[in-house]
Amino acid sequence: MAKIFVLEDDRDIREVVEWILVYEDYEVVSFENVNDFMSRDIRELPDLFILDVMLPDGSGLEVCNQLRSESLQDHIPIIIMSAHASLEQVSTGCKADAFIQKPFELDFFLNKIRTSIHS
Amino acid sequence: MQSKNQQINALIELNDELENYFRNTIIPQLFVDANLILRKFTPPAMKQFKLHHQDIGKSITEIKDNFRFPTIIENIEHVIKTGELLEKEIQTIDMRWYQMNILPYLVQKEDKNNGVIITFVDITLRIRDLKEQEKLIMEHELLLDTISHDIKTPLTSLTLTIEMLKKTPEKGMIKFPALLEKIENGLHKIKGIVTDLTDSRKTDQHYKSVEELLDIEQVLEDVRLTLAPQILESKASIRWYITYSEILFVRRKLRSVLYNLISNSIKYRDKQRNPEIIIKTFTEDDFFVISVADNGRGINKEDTDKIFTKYERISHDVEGTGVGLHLVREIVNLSGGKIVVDSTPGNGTTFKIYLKNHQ
Repeated sequence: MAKIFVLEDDRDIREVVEWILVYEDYEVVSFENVNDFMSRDIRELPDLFILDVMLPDGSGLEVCNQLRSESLQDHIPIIIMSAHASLEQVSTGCKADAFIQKPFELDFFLNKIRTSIHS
Repeated sequence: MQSKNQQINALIELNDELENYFRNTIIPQLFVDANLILRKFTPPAMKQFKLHHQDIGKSITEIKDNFRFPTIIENIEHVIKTGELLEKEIQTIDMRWYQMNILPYLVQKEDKNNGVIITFVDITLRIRDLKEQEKLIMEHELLLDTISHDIKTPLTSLTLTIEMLKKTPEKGMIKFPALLEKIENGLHKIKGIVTDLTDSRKTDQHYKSVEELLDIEQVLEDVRLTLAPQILESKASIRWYITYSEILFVRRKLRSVLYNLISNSIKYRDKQRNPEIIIKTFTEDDFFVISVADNGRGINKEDTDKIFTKYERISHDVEGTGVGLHLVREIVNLSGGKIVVDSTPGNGTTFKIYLKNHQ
């Protein structure tokens, strides 16, 4: 069972995403801010990170860069989701495997996750 | 002999034309010759750069500080040397902006530059407008970005929840109430955004207002200019006796208050006499008071409350909307002040505006 870490501050999105992923037989751990995410057990490695950009105590792009700089997890795929108008602007901020723009369709979301995990 | 006289006359005529031209030019303009001697200037140049008639004949280097623009001598010398027109926007050290043109003054017979004509067009206001516009555009962009970002968040949870609801029959119905709650949350958030937007438009954007220290005479002068046609037509006399001239208030609002009161004094005049309007300022307790007194038709005691009611009109022989005094009272009350009316029918009315004195 693939494990996914989700970092999203909006409670509704976080919970629905979690339910969806659990239905799809993923194991999910969610975090609601950068601080929570950073204090997670660093030895536990997921198969995928899903990060929101605008967070109350920081940016998902910074988190993404930090993950990329740590050798232990620099190979783990990252999906960035953002409500920003310009995806290009967001995508220059870090080397993620996929960027998805909010709002997105469920199937599109699940497809991105599948391709990211299996590539 | 005759032809010499004719030549002299022709020269005098040409000189007159040139003098006339310089005297009647509404923009600051200078003529500096090839030896950098100031030869002529227009009256606006005199005013703008504080020049005196005695400065004519002086070297421009002696009076260069008047122009509050350090490189002016270099620029003039460059044009004299090259014969090329120089055009640029300059900011003087007193922070004003000018479009400065330095044109070579050509003497055709000798085919050489005999000096320069310098023209200054004041573009301070235009520059300020452009900056203001730029700021507005930025704010607008930022606002749009924020709105769409804020709406996309509930849209995301709504989209996902609805798609999940479609799948619930196959996945079991346990989550059904929780999913419905998510939909309600999403709708609630979008409604909140819309309310925020309309409220902020009502309060900040539409009535965006900054208090500043106002000189009441300036505001009155503004109002007098706005009402110039009505004043002329009604032969009204407006006088003010200002003992306290400074008040901290929103300019547009104070103007609106005074405009409505003075305009009413003219509208509701007594047809038997020319309107006379007297404006005074004084302080009373913590208030800055502006009184506007007229010799108009006056208001009956039972009508004094009605005049402030929106769309309510007492006299129907005069054009009006019934909004003016309502607006005046709103502005004054919202600022923490009050408005008092004292009127004798057939004699005239005095409005007293009490504004909180923050000083």
